[in-house]
Amino acid sequence: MKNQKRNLVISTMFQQAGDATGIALGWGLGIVLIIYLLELIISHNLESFLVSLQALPGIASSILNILLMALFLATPYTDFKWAIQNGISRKTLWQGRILSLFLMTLVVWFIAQLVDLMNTPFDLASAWHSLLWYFGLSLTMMAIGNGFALLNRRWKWIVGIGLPMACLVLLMMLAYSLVGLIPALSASGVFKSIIISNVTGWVILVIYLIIVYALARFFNNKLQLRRD
Amino acid sequence: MMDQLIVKNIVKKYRRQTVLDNISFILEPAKIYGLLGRNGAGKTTLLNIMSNRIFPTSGEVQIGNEDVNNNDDLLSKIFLMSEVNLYPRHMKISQTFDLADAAYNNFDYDLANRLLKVFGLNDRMKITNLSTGQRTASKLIVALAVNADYVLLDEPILGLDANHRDSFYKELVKTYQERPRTFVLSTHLIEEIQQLVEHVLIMDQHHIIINEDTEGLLAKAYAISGPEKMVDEYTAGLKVLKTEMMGNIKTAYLLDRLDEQRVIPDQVKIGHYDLQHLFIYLTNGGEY
Repeated sequence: MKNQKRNLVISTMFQQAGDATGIALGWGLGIVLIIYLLELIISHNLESFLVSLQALPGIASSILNILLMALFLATPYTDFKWAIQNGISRKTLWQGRILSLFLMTLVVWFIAQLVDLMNTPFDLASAWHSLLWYFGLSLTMMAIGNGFALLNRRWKWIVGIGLPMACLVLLMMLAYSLVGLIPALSASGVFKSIIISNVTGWVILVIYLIIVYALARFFNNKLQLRRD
Repeated sequence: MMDQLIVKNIVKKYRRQTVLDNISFILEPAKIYGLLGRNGAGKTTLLNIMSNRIFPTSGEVQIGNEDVNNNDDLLSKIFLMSEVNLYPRHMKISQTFDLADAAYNNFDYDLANRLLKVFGLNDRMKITNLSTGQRTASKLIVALAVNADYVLLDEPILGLDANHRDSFYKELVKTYQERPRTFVLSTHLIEEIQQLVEHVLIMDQHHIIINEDTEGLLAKAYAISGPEKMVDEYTAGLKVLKTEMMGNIKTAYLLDRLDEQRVIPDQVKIGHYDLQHLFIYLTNGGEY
């Protein structure tokens, strides 16, 4: 029963994503195409028009990227509602959504790689980095979306404006305090080796992904019907 | 075999406001319950907690001694049809059937298709485009055709016209006879469900104040009328919910058992009153 419900969550998410992709690509590419056609009518430059058409796969790939992020940012509460209406637990909803995120990110990344291959040769390191970037970003959007799904309209406004501002102020304070510490830190050999080391970036990335994953899951487990 | 659904010491607070205060009761398998209460009594909150849509502040809901929270197998035994629409706006009626089939298995499509005709709906209609009554009807169809042991109906007749309400009551009895399961009806139209419900739960001031079989409860609902003095003498020591005076005639509404040794004066008449009036007298600020 649990597997059946998890598959139901995944298939419904893919169906939603498919519908949204159709609409977004239709509108996005349609508008771009109309602009190109208008340019062609005005300039009568067929060569330029054909060159412009080559940009369409890249635009489609960008639209898919944005859609992937928007999907996990906007749908947590909607998904929770239909799921709980059909007796699907938060745990199973989480499993279905995280698997969907994994699969959809892979699909979008793969399409982006194919589009890139049209212009540049394949580079394993860059492909690997971009995959991590995609996962990090979509997981972050999911965590934010799940967090916002817990809030009513009023608190969405408060947190939506207040939290970025608070983060900005904290970052600025951190930057100012670091400026004062730079002479002392630059004298430290250990600090230099930490900054220079390749491992540092990976450690920070892994810690970030763990935190975002834990937050997304925590918020998912706290989802309930709101009164607004 | 169906297990009991046990609601155990449920408390729900929104900040400082207590909505449910230590609610406990048991739903037996294959029985029709009426959950009655005034506006704001906490009926919807209780049903939402029973179906794991919201969390209680404390307490738990169990089926067969297991907590339903995060338990897919147990959640598949509970279906709540609520006033609010939880389906995505673009969803068609047929898709709500398919979802219920995928999540609960063995959705009764034959019954659903027959009920679509009864309520004058088409399964290609989108939920968001339906009127209030049609939306209620579409949700009722899912609730009656879904394969769940506990079907909770919150305001199941909201916006339905008299004809469709009558159809719903008939279909409910029919499907219950074909496949007995537990229904909980939460509604304000008490007169209409009196004949349907086997057991009554009445909520007042965030508590369950009545948890009894309908027949037994109404057997204790006596209306005693006659000259004031005689009625007062006869009802002395009994639980009187309300009294009314019309000229010299007094009527006392009781909720108590009358022992056979209590002698009935000649001018005193004894009758019964209905569930709706019992509900009004119990929840009208009296001290029950």
